[in-house]
Amino acid sequence: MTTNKECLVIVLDIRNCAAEEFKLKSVKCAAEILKDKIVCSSKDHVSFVLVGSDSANNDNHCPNVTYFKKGVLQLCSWQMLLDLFTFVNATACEQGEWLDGIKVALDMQDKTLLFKPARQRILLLFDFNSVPQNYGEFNSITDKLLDSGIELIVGSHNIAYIDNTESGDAQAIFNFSRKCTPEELENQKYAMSLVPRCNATLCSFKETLQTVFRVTNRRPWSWNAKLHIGSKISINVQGVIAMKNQTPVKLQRVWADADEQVSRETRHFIKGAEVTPLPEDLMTGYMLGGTAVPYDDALIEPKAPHPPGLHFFGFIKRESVPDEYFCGDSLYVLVHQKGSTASANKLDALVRALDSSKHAMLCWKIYSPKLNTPKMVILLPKLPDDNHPATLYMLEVSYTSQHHFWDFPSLRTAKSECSDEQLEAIDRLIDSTDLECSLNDTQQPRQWRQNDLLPFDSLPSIFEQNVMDVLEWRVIKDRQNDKQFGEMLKDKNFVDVFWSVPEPLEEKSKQAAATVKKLFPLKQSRAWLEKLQAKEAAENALPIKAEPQEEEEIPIPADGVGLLTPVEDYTRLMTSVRTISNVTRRDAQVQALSAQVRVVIVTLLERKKLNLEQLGELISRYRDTCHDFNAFLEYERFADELKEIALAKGLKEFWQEVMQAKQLGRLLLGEQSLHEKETLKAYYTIDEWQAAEQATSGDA
Amino acid sequence: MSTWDPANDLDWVSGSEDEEDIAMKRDYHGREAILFVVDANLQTNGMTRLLEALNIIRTAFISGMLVNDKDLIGLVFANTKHSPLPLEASSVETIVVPENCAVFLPLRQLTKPIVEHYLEFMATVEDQFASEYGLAEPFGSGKFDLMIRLCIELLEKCGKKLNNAKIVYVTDVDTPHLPSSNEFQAALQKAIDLEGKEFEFHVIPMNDDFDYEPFYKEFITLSRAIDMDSFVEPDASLLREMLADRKLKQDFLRRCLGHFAFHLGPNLSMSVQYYNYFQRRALPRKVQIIRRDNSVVSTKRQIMVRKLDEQTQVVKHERQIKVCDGWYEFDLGDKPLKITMQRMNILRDMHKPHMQLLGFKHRSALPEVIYSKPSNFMYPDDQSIIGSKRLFRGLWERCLQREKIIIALFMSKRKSIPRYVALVPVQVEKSEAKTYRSQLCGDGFKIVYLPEAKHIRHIDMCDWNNTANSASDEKVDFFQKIIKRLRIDYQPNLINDPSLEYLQANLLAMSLDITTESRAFDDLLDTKVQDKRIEKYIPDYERLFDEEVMPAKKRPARDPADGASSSKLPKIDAEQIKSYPYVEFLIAEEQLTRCTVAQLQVILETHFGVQLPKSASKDKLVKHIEELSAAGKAMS
Repeated sequence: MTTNKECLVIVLDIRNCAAEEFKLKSVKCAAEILKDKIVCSSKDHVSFVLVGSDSANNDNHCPNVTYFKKGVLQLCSWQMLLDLFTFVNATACEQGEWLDGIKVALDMQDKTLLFKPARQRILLLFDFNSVPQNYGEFNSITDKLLDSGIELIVGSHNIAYIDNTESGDAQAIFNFSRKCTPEELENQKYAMSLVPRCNATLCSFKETLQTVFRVTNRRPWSWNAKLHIGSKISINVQGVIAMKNQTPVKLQRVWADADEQVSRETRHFIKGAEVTPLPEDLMTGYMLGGTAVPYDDALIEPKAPHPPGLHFFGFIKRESVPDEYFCGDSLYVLVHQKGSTASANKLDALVRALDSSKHAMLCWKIYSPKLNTPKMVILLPKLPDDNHPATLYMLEVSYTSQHHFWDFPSLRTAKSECSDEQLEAIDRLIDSTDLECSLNDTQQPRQWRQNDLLPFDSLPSIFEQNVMDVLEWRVIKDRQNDKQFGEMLKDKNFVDVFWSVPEPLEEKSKQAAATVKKLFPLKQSRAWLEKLQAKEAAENALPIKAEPQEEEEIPIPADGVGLLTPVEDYTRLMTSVRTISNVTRRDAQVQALSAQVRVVIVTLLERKKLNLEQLGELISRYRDTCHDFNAFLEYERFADELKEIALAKGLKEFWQEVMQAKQLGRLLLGEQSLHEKETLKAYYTIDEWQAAEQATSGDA
Repeated sequence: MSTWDPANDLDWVSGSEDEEDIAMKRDYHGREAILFVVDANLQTNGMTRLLEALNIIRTAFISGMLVNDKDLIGLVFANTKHSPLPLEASSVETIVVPENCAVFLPLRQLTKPIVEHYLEFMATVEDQFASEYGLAEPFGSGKFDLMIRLCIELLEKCGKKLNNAKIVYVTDVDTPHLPSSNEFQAALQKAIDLEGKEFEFHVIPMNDDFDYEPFYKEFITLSRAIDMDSFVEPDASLLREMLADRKLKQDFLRRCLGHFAFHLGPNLSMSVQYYNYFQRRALPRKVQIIRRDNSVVSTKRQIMVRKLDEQTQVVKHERQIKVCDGWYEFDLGDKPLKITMQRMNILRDMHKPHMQLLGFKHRSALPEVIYSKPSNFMYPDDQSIIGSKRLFRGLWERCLQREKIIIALFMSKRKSIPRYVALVPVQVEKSEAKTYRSQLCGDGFKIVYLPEAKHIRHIDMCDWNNTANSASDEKVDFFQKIIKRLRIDYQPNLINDPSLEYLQANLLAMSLDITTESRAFDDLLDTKVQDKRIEKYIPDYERLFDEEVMPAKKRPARDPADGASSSKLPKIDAEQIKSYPYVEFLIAEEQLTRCTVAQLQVILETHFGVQLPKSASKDKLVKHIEELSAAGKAMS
């Protein structure tokens, strides 16, 4: 099996004379690379070398150079990340030769040949400052790099890019923002000359990461197939993935502790009741509307698999290619079978013919005899260039039955017409947030390799970055509860970095947006917000799957008991609640309604002028409900509460004319015992008032 | 499931929560309903139009049954003279059926008997429709508003919760009531009712010279609450074609995948909504059936965790866990560190759903072929931020005119993942009115998802590059001729899903005894026609191009029975590992790695009675053997 494993040695500068900021950045850079390798490419081997350590530990007797662990490249792990953070804090000194670092790294790479790596690289992160270096071995070391095929990437700060006047390609240079000493210039000169001497890449920190992550693959996985046109013409091709929407983050999912057994079991149910049918009792079928139709292999004649490969369907005009209908998760390129000139010739001729006549090709794709479902694909020509032979892009297309047809009203209506001033403001926004043009006209050195602030080929994977960062913090800070964890996420600014216009444009863009804001009246709709909140509340309140309602159920009105017509509201709601056949649900509804009506009664009691008739009616209805639904205790508590209120507010009239007259005290079942009669009597009499009454009558 | 091994459960932490998945979950809250209303006026010019309409509905019935088994479908006749009761007469007891309307089928989930009943009815239409249903008098004009009222009543009293209800009116009368009449006003009032109740109304003209003005234009714009001047008149024949596939132009207001705010700068945002161009492949729902009585068995997968007593091997403790339980684990020296799923969810929820402008580029900057996931469509929405439509239009118009695309960062839903997108302005060209492109969408932005750097694979083609690759002009000419002979005009309905068609044809044949004329896929692969068209160029082909060389097989495929299934020759003698002392010697000398994986498995099985999954790595096997042997020593 071919694995594209990589061996990488990172050489770090820890000399005391190196800029502090530089050292921090380089450790961060190394950590990022390590994190990426831990979660994404588990087979790669990595190690580190320090230049500028006080002691020396290496096999080449180089002073001030220390290698990681025993100088053996290792598989990446979180432990290694922690070890790295302690490793770089080794006691540093002033001296240290970067060429020595590379020498040690080369030696370490030699030992890794055992692993048969597909790629060997050395990353040098070094501050080329004014401390003089010894370049005696420069030629021999660079020659060795070139011979061994080990790629060198040099990352440093104060690197800028400028377009080469002849080739137009971007070129890395040292940014001379301040005056350099002759020693510094000398160091920079050697660093620069690494590029022509051993094809090294010189880059800034940001570009360093991208260069390390950007790997080219010489032996990609490929799908071998034949492209047939008619029965006579056939071309041997290899399908290779060019883009695939697939995250490389892999984590081990654990279900239970080590001493427990995990198993996945299938349970069967008929109309909710669990059954245990024998396998031979079951057969597959399909739902045809509400009817199940058996569809078993025994009933259908088995078919011979379709022949694998690409089968021609038709040539279509390039402009009628429906890119909206492209589906699937990957983009393939078809290249001729490696080493076959006949296929190469045919594919080259086909691609050029397609390109010049502006056509594309529709084919049926059948992956293999096993994965035999035919898929329609579209093939688009790509002309050969210096790096690529003629190829065809291959994309899957969705079927008619899947398509949606929309009815969008035209955007150009009188109501949405913009004034000239408004259009001008939009133009200004476009110009001031242009990712390409603002850089084009200057020949100033810039901080990015490409003349584009957001090149399409280096968009970050935000989700993966977040996962890695969070895991890193989890490793560093072990014990945290969920709340601390949530706060840490907010704290660490994992989010906001991505959600803004690139920094160089930010200010200008902000101003242009402010002008647009002034000219276009925009108003948040209150109705929409309310609708949204109501929807959210409803979603939170209801179970996900509402049970099917019985036919005879009267749907419950959504309004509830109001203060204006509480008796009517309550009666109406109760009628519908009583129709609910599911007992549990009905009881729940009664409870909810009772709580509601109690609040209403208490609220009504707080009014200055009491509507005694209404109150009496409402309380007696509620009392009846409690009687019907066996809620004796509930009513007892409420009756006590009513007494308390009446007492506190001195609602004598209410008490006598409603509670006493209508006998709305606590509920009793059956014949009342003597004790019960006594308690009831005690409930209705309020001593203070009686005393007061007696007092007044006595006065009279 | 035997193929599932929890010990090797590597998880691709992904943002696989498809937008559509979420949209589907929302559909859980109710069913879709289509109520067909057929105008009895279709019978006036001979029965053909009526039959044609009924035929379209028949296909819609069948395809509906095949794909969306839970949908409700109903059928009503309008402008009839009589109002015969439907088969289940009791179902319309609670409904007031007005004059000149007849309910054929109240809203029901389709079943085999219903479809069979409809098919029987269709067979009798030609002879009996005129007498049984007749035509309203005079001039076949019943009251439009009453018909709509009946539809609303049927939909509201269908007994199921509806999520998306449509009334489809099939007619050839373009002005049911004159604009000056009271009926016209009454009908418009009903249009407003439809809007309020969120029922969609579609009219399918059965004649091509159908004039939407003045009645339907006003009725439809009112029922959808859009401006009169933004109404686009659809093509009647295309509508009919689509309806046969049970497709209707979708109402843009209700069927979007989501609403979100598009931030153009600090404090400047507009509200927009987005749509998909196509949905997921919908196959008939597969179920398990009990063989003897065809009752449907629902199955549930459960993950069980059991703790066994070490000595007795008796289950001490048992619990069921959900798919969302469990945790991620990684090694950190001596103790493993866990990340729970709850925390993963907090992580997923960090970004808030919205879209943020990052900048503009020229149209040409977008590579011709770039793909990461299917594109979406974006359209303004004045509901949440009033005034968005105008700002959207301004931006859209300037981008179109200046050939600019917008680069933005887009988080579509909660707990999905933020993605970089390019917004490409698109518009319906007048010249395209008749092609499929006009059906695709309207004016707005196409959302093209951009691949992340890690999604792009860089391939070094140096092993393929060769100066001999390039073909001579004569060879290119040859393929030019082939292209000319085999050109076709692309229509999206060319491409039907062969495996789905095959399955559907079989199901129909088995349950309803309908034979469909779907071509078998093998016929599609038949090259006879192609061969015939390019017949005369084949001699050129043979002359110009060399013969293909079969690619060399990587490894000779020898029969495993010959004992040659493994290409690796074992370095350790297979016989020797059967003796345990020899294995101990290997362990002591750290020579286990010299064994092949197969041999290690044999050691585990014969000496320790343990079986590891076939996928276990060599490292793991060696480690396991070493542990077991150490444990054995400790015991003794």
